[in-house]
Amino acid sequence: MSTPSFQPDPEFLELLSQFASGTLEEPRATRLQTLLSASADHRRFYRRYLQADTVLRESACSAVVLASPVQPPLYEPWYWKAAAGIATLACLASLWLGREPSVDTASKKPTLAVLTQSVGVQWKNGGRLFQAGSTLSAGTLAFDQGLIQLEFLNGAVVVAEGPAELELLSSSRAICRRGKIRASVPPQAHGFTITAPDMDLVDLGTEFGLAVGSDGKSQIHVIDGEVRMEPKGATAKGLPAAASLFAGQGLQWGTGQIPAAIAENGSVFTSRQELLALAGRNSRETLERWQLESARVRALPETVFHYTFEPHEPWSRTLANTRPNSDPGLNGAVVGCQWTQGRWPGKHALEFKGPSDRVRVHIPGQYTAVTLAAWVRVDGWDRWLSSLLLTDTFKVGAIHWQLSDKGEIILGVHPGHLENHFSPPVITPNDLGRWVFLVTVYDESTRTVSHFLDGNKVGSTPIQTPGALRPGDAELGNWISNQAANSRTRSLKGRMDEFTFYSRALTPEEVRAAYEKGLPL
Amino acid sequence: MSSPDAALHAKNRDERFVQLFAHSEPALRLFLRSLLPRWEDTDEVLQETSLVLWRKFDTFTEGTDFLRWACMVARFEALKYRRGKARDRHIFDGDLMETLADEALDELPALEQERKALEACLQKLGSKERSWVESVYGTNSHIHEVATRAGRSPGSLYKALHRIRLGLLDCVTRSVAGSEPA
Repeated sequence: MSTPSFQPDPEFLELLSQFASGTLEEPRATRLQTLLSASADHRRFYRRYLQADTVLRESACSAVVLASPVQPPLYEPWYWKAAAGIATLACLASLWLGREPSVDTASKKPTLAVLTQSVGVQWKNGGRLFQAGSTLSAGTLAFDQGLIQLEFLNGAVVVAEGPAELELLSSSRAICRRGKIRASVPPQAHGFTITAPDMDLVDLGTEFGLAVGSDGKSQIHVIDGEVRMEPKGATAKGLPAAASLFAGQGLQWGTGQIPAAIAENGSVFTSRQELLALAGRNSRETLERWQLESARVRALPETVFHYTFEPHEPWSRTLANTRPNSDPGLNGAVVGCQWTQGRWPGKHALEFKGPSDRVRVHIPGQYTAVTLAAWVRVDGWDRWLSSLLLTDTFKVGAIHWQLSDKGEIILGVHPGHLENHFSPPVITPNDLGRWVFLVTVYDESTRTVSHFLDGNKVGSTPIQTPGALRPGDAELGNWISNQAANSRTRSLKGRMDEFTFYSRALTPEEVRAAYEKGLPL
Repeated sequence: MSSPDAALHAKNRDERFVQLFAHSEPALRLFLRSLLPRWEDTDEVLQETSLVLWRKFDTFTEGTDFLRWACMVARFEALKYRRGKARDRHIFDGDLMETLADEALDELPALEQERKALEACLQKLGSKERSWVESVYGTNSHIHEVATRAGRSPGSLYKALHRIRLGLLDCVTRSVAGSEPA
């Protein structure tokens, strides 16, 4: 191995000592470089010296176990309590954490339609909570009240009013089992078909309303253009296989009955224009409800900061921490980002667009449990990694909360050794451009990191080296380290309209509740 | 979409990665430390490297040397880091970094053997020495705080650490020499 006969001179040893301790300054740094460049022996010794230092540094973490209890260290290190009782040398082992898929992320069915409006919707219990921007694949949408607007990929737009139950079959075909719908079908979507209990309705252009009651009675009103009606079992009932209905015509029928003509009254079906107006009124109510919830969160003792992204003035460059009496460093300094619309009209957000856009924060203190919660709209993956919250450096105590372009939520922490906690890839291309609620919980007491998407747990991994987190200087939506090297840029492309940092592990129930309270009404 | 087989495959793959990375991490950390000026740079590039390795794991050929592969990736990341910090006077110039990286790759097996000896030597440290090491490396405190609390000057703490490192190297030289066949 190294030349045993090599005897380092005192000057070189002094340089090494300072290099290892990180105290080497000019001109001695240049001197070390000169010595190393000139001699392979010096380089070999340098590596051996650093290896000794590396082994010492790694031992510091396991030393708690090795050290005799009657001989305490200079003072009680912060990890002492955490590591006491752990009878293994876990610290010397490595700490890469693979992910443990805990949910079915397999729902990669093709998108058929996009939900573009949602007002006052009460989704059926147990069902998924869709929101504006949600993409929809084949399946059933059921809600007790409220209005939604669906835009099918073939171009047809459907406004549906609850109580309703719709099933999406393809991008040009759906079943209406219950509810009031108004379908607007542009020329390119001709042939868009809605199946009602007793018949298929094939739109041949423009607009019709369909109401299916709980008693099985249905009405159709052709508002504009032409609709072909194809009764089920037409021959058995002595009906023609198909009949055309034109603008101004209406039909009503019950199960097993013969359809009867009625006067067209399309105005009972909410139009897109009316829906938009309703949405405006609704967003005010949503805002009030959210303000109430936000006031609760900011008053919690475990809330370290709660950014609501509501600027006092449009030119404000401060992201105010709404938690009262907290460290002023917790007010974020906005760099580059512009104010824009958040989850609903009237809610503000910051837009992260340029590679320099960021919010600088300073997070004092140390935390053995942390919950990070953010409402984010990712608009695209410009980079492999997109920052949510990254500490400037990755030293002991660091937090690196970020997303990968595969859609993984990643918590990198450094409680003594680096640990990366990955969720499975959960943010799909369909989620780009829609508001998602991201939560990651670091809990030293249970030695677990858990990730949540939209209130559902999507992964959890064990913490290998429990230890406190001490974030310090950090930023939202970017990473200071990118300044010089472009390839290291981790700027987020998208919007953020709420961010809360709790010094406690929220329970899955609390995460779910926070999600539901943050959804637009 | 993902079949149970695919899920199992992904799980095995993840576990395999964790295993390989765990085994290589100490050597990888030293490799980076020898290229970069400070521990904080080392930790940062190691973190970056670990993420790159994870992402590129599909390109790793099972049966080949994982550590070597990881060091190649780490070397690239360190050079990239250097470019980003070109104005940092403490960072080595590119030529020296390349030379150090090449040599460290060649020395991987020897350094690995020496590491085992070092770990044995570590057990022989006295409790006072151990407490120095812990207080400097085991905490996030600045060495000045540690020194103040211990009632010593930072300089004397650095010197103490330096002596401990040299003592370990001495112990390693003796134990390696002792294990050589006569």
